[in-house]
This record gives sequence, structure tokens and C-alpha cells, in this order.
Amino acid sequence: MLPGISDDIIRKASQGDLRSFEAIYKATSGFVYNVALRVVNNREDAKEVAQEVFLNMYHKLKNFRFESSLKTWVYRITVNSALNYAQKTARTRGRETEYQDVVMAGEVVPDARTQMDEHHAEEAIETLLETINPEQRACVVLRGIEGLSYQEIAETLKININTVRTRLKRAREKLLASKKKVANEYV
Amino acid sequence: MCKEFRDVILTDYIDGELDKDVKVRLEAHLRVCAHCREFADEVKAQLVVPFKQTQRVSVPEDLWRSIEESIAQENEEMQPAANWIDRLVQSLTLPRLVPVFLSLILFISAGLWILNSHQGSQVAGNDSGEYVADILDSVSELAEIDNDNFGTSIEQYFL
Repeated sequence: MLPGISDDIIRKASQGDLRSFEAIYKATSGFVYNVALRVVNNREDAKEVAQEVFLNMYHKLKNFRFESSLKTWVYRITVNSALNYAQKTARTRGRETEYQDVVMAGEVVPDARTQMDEHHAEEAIETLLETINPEQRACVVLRGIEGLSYQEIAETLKININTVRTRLKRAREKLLASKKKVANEYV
Repeated sequence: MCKEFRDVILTDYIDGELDKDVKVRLEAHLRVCAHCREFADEVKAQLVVPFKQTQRVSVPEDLWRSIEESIAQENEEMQPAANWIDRLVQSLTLPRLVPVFLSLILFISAGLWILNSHQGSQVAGNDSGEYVADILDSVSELAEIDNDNFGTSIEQYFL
């Protein structure tokens, strides 16, 4: 349950009450924007995704059946929108191979070598996330940043819990390999 | 052995999802295997800590305004359609249909009355006895015509 969001507020928002919907926005916009940002890995794109997520929510709230928690439902819409956006932009920008090759590009190397202090953590995370594909990114973000359990991730993404494990394992193997590659090349 | 443990380290172990028995076995292995211990420390340092330290990025201030504007715009676009539907519904409401129904009933009634009066005058104009006799005469005349003019020679043979 989201703090401050009662079933009554959800019902009112589903009937088009904008003040109730704004209350839901205030309770969820933080994680909606941040999850979108980590999946698409670009602030402007994340804003566009977040706007699309809330417009979707405004229209689809009347279909919300209270069977899952509102938070899981919002996570699901957010991740789906972000993944769709990432795939669409990858097609239009021809970035399909970028996830594997980005570490080899010279411009990202200094960031990848940066120590994990507060000043560089943000850039380091962005660089790390660039090395994995959006689906793996979604799992890593939901677990590593949002702190969801495997079961919650499986419910959010509507996938098997073992698929969650597999995606996390492959993503982390790739992240470790990228870091090692960079370390070996520039020591 | 180490490969299996490393897969577990990369997932359930660092995420705190490991069940008790496996955790006991893994920790026993880590006490004796320096490579796996080093691997576990590296994974935690490189893949857990950075994500945990990540600060939430502030939501753009103008995001809610953009959403509100989009909703308002959508509502405006829906408005003409809604008006059109309202007008259609209003035009079909009962008070406006009453004169139409009344006219229709009057028209049908008048038509039925004219039809009935026309048939009645036809029957009334003939004496019933004469009327039946006329019909019988007509039938016998037709029978005579049939005998004289219809049928080929073969048909007549069979008849």
C-alpha cells in the first residue's frame, strides 16, 4: 500500500477526479521517474516516459481491480512503458549493438574507472547500465535500487521467478566483465 | 562446486533471497575457498554497493503541469464528440417523438377505415343470391371453353 493513498482516493481518481489523481502522482512520481530514468538511461526520455505512464494510469485506473497492490501495478506500467520506449528508440537510433560495445568506446572509459564516491556514483551507474540490455536493466534497477524482492519483480514483470534470477545473473556477469575489461585495459 | 556457488553468489546470496540450508553450505564453503570469498567481496563492492548508494534523481518540476495540460487537452478533444452524442440523444427523447407517433397512428387508422368502407360497399351492392348464381355461371362457361379449346389430340385421347 502506498502511504496516504486509500482505496477511496483510487476510486475517485478512476472516476476522473484530478485532485485524487494528483495525490497518486505525488506518491508515485519519484519511483516512476527514477525507474524510467534507469531503464531508458536518459533524463529527457525518462520525462517523456513518465508523462506517458501517468496518462496511461489516468485512463486505466478504472480497470484497476485491487487484486495486486497499486505500487506493483504502477511499477508494471512504468517498466512496460520504459521497455517499449527503449526498444523504439533503439530501433530508430540503431543502438541495438550499443549495449555490448559501449564499454569499448573510449569516451565512457574514464567514467567506468571512476571510484564509487558520491560525486561520481551517478555517472558510474549510468555507464554501468549502458552495458546491459533494457530487460536486464529493469531487473537490476527493481532489485538493486528499488529493493523489490524476486517475487515482487516476477509479479511486476509478469515473468517466472527463475527468469528473474537468470536475468539478474546474466546482467551481473556482464557488468563484472565490463568492469574487468576496463580495468585490464587501463591499468 | 565453485561454479555453482558463484551463480548463487551472483543472485540469491547478495540479494538476501537464499534459503537457510543453502546459506549455511555456502558460508561453510566461503570459509575454506579464498577464490569464492574474493569473488563474493568483489560482487558486493562492485554490484551491490553502487546501486544502494544511488540517490533518487528529483522529478522534473514541470512534469505534473505537462500531465495536467495533456489531460485537459484530451478532455477538450473529447468534448465535441460528447456534444454530438448529447444532441443525438436529446433528439430521440420521448416528448419529441409523441407527435410523430400520433401522426402515424392517425394515418394508419384512416387507411384502415377507407379500405373497410370500400370492401363493404362492394359486397353490399350485390344481392347475395344473384352474386352466387353469377359465380356458378362463370365457372360453367369456363368449363365449356376448356372442352372446346384446350389440350392436344394425345391429351384428349387420354382424357
